[in-house]
Amino acid sequence: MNALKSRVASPFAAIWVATFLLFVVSPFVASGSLSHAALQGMLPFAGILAIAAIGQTLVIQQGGLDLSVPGIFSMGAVLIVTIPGGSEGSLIPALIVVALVGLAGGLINGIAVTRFGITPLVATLGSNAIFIGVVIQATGGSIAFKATHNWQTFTADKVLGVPILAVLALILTVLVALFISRTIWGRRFVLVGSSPLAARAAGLAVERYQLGAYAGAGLAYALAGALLSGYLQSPPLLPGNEYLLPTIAAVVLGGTALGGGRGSVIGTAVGVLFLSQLEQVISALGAKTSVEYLIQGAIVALGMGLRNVPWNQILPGRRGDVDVAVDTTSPDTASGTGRALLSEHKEEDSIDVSKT
Amino acid sequence: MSARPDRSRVKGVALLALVALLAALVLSACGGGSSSSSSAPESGTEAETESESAGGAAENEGETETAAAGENAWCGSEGITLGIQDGGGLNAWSKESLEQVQLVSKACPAVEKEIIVDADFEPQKAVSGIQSMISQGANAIVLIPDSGNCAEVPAMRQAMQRDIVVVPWAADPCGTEGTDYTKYIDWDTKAAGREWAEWVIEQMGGKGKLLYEGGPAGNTVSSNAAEAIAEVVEENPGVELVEPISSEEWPVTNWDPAETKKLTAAILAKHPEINGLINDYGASVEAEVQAFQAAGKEIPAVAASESNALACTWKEEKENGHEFPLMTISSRNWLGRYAAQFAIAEASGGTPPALKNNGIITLGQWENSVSGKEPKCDPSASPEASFSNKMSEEETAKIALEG
Repeated sequence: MNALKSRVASPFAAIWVATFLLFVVSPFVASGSLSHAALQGMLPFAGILAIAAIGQTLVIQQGGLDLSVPGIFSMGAVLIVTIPGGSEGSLIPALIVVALVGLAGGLINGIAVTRFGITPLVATLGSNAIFIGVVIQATGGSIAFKATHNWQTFTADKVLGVPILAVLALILTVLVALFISRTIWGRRFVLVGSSPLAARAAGLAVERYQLGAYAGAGLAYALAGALLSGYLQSPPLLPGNEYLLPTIAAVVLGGTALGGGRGSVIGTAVGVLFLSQLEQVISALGAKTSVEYLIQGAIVALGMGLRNVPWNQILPGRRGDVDVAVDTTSPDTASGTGRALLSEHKEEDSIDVSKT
Repeated sequence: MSARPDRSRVKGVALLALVALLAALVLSACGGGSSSSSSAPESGTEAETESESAGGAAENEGETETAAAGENAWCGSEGITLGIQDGGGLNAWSKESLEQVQLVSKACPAVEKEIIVDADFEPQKAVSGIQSMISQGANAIVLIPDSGNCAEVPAMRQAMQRDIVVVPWAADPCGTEGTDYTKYIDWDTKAAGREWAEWVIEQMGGKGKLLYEGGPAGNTVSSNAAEAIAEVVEENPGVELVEPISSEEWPVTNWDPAETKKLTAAILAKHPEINGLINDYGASVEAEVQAFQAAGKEIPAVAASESNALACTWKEEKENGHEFPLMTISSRNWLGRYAAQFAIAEASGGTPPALKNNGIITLGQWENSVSGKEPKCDPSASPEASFSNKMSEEETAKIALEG
């Protein structure tokens, strides 16, 4: 019973409920917003955002915040087009370069944060400016090529009628979620995010996990950028600018705590679905741009704000339920989970040490 | 104990790798730009090394310089510093605009120094850019005032008070001639809007649903075009606008292909039948067309500003047996030549060009697939290239100059 209660009151459940309600309400509020054509138009962009948001989830779960999404995303978008320069044969090398540049960009952020102790906000803000500068300098202000035909075809493809970008996002999300929840590395990753001190005490190389989060995030942004390029055929110069706030909003709506620790890439993916469908509904309503921004802003602010309301004080009747919920999420619990994990890790690490 | 030196060594190596990576990125970036700069006359500004992504611009450069050198009454004898500003600055249209201005400035020896500022659509950056030009001793400023809604007026006025020649072009600067700027040079946006609307409605047979998509909210180009299109639609009772438009509102693409594709897909989901499209930024139309294709719809008649990508899409569709009627109006970057000539002439003591209609030029159709002016596609050029910028001085003079 307690397990059920905790599941219902889990911070990740809210976004599922909200998204479900949004989809139920959509056809009544704006006719056509749930039509086949509307979904086919919305899902590819949702897929791209979801892939970028996986990266942001990893970083936020480690107590960071990545403002370099626009820069790394745009580097990926530009490289996948400019390296082949229209030649089909260079697509694979271009993809490898995109992956390496994404990883390198993320590593730069990670090194700045972990080795030099710069606040994530400042470090990634600065590195973002560098990445954007590189994009502008390398292209001279505009992109001279279109994406290769193969890449265009791949990104516009469908699997059983579902846009491949959405399928790809789903596969990546599930893989990352499984990695985090089912592998020792993943569990340690959560422990490091929840309580770096406890993790360090357990003998874990905390910095390595944090570096990994930033590097993985860079890879996710660059890949998302490259996919957008293929889907648009002729990408704009800095397409990543549109992806910073939505990634953060999706992560927070998805239930990942901004302070680190608690996190869910699946929650984030649902958050992306919510934001994308919300945009679709508002567009279908024919709202003015100003109204569109106001509604989106208000809903995101509400979604984030509601989490911080001390419900257990306002609603005394819910106390028991909330306590259970808090039990699974509060920092104390996190370190509790940390303690549970700790003994396991101690054992693992002692084996590692003995091996070396 | 031995862990400490190891740790610091690792830290050192990491720092070194970081610096090396940054250096490699910057070097590769420089390499990418300089490969095309060999034809530039002299190095100096960053913009010069950018030249050729626009595809074949070098050829044009040589051509126009010769023409300019032969007829440079606008180039006076007093040495001047020329400020060049773009309210945006980060797309192919902006790049072509800068090239057109520089074609002229490089041909006049009186221009001793150039100061180039891009505002990235940030009004604050646009204003501080103008102020910085004033403080650096600019004698003339050529600017595209589209960073926001009339945002540049106070800064332009400050420049005028310091006796600096201010020539806004390509976007309505607001303000008054003589007080806020010296001369405003542009296409007649309302005439363009009318031309697009009348042509598309003709292709629609005078009835059906019409969709107009424009740039960022509040920009004067889209605002004027939308107003003119709405007027023409009112004159044609058989035509209905898919989404309401006026001088204040229109479906906003932000001149960004991703936004355009999303917006068009959403509109198509709501209105499955659309018979005519107008877009004031040709490079975005490719995304609009993709949304139609993704929804399995035939592409209707399209009127837009010119773009290589759009012309190539048209050609591809024609070859696939899905030809759609297409009409474009020049992307007008070449008007920058006259804006620069005017500014340089006023500041250096030359004779300014005698422009038609006080500088507000009516541009006719550039391409029209129906009347035989076939859209020009060059797959080897940049998707966003605009070939009207290759017009010779004689050709542009016929359109823009008196007599």
